[in-house]
Amino acid sequence: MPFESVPTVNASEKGEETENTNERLAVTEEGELVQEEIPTLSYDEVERMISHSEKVADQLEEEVIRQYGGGFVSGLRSKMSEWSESLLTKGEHAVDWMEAKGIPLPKSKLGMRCLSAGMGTAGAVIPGGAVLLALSVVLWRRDPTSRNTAPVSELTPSVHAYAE
Amino acid sequence: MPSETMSHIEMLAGGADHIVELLGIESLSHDDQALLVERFSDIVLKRILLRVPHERVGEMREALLSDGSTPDSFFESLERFIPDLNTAVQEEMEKTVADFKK
Repeated sequence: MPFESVPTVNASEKGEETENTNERLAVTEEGELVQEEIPTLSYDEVERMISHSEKVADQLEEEVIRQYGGGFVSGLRSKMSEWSESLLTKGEHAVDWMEAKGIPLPKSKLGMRCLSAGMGTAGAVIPGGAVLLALSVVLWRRDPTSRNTAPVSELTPSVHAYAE
Repeated sequence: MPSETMSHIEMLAGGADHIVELLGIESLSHDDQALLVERFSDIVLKRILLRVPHERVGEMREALLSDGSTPDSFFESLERFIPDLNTAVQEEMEKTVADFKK
C-alpha cells in the first residue's frame, strides 16, 4: 500500500541530526527551511476532546432539528453521502492532476488518506466523513488563499515514491 | 477526469490538513484524526446552518435537499441565505476550535 505513512523528510535524511523525533522540517513564509515541533496530545487530552465535542454535537443536533425538522438532518446527511460517493468513483488520477498543477500533497495523515480515498486506493469511505467534504468546499470557496500554497519541493515527495 | 472532481479532492485533502492543524492533532493516528475532524466539521456546519434567519429556513431547507444539489450549490445556498457568510464561517470555526481545546 503506497499511503501507509505521511510523506515527511527527516532531518537525518538531510544530513542534519536531531534528537527529537517529534519534529519535522517546514518551510517558512520567507522560504527558509526550519525544524518545527509536532504538537503531541496526551491520552487524557484526546479523551476530553472527544467527550466534550460529543456533548456539543448532541446539543447542536437538537437545535438544528428544532429549526429545520428531523427529516432535514437525515436528508442532508444522505445528500452529503451521495456527494462523497460520487467523488470516490472519479478520483483515480487525482495525484497525477495535482502533480501536473504543482499542487503539493497533503501534509497530514488524514489528508493523505482522503487523497487515497479519492483515488480509490484506501477503501470506499471518505475518512472524516461526507461533512468534511462539505465543510472543505465551504472553506475553500470562501477563501481560496487559505489553501496550502507551498511550492512542490523535496518536502513533498511524489506519492509515486511510495508505490510498491 | 472532470476537473470539478479533482478540485473537490484537492479541497477535501486541504480541508483535512487545515482542520488537523487547527486542532493540533497531527500526532494522532489517521483514524483518530478522522473521528475528530468529522465531528469538528459536523459541529461547524450545524452552527452555520443555525445562522440562517428564521424566516428563510424553509427556503434553505428546500435548496439543500433539492435534486441535483452538489457541494458547490450547498455553498451557494449558504451564501444566499446567510448574511456575511465569510465572517460567520470564521466565527464558528474559532468557536468550535475553542470547544475542542477546552
